[in-house]
Amino acid sequence: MKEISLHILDLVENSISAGAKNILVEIMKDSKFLRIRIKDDGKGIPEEILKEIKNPFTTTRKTRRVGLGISLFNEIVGSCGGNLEIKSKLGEGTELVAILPASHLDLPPMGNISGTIYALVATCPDIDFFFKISFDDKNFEFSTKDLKAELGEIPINHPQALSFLRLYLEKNLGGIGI
Amino acid sequence: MKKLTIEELKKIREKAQTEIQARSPEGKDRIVVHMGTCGIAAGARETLLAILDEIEKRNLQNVIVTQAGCIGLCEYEPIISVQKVGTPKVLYKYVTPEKARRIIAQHVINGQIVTEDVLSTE
Ligand code: FES
Repeated sequence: MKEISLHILDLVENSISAGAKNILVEIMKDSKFLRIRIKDDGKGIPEEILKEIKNPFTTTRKTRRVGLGISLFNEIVGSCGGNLEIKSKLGEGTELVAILPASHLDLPPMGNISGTIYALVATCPDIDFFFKISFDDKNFEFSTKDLKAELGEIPINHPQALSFLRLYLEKNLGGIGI
Repeated sequence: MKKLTIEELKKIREKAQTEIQARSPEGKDRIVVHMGTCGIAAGARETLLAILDEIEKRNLQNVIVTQAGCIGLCEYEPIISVQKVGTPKVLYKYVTPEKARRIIAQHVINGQIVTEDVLSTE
């Protein structure tokens, strides 16, 4: 995958498949580090699988699709000399924290973060997302709970609401670039 | 988040209200984009964004877009399925953004399946 934003989308997909109702996505980047944190309240990852996920030799195993994305991401983290930590409790949720050196040559570009956010919010109206992004000195926070409260009875995936969200992301994060 | 401005919210509410009332009772046409790891690596996000864009541009009120996980068919990704109300579900393969736009114009709007891109029909 050629963008960090695609890895993030893929990692969040794991949370969605785990039945999470609340998902926090935190991306912080300064001149030294890129820190990514994803926390969900899904069903959690069993310990055996968690162990296996980090093992690079299981990456290409075609039979196990769950967690494939974590293995891929783990490879990127490894090749950049970063660190990936995953804590998971069955029935409570999973928290993933990755810290990578921001200027490593093997670090893929950030890519289309707005597109990732838009894709998630538009297709998962029942999940509450909280995005916290800070690039150098630029900060952006967006909670679907807040937006839902503002919208009242109008569903968050209603075309009007989505078109608002698209413009909102454009204003704050530079657009989804389609 | 920054609050919506009053005007923005008013506009959304006004437009949305009339549409909510006009919503047909027999449901909506559905598009599902498969977002497994392979799908994403193959471009599913861009396909999904193109679909959402097309729906917004054409103001398609009766179409709902959702996502689903992997269906074990890596080699055909990106995969989407289209189900128009009262018709069978059609699975499309290798759906690039361009193909997605075409599928919307031809299948979702005009009801004609884009046969050359079909993976399977239910
Ligand atoms: S992710 Fe490869 S088949 Fe689903």
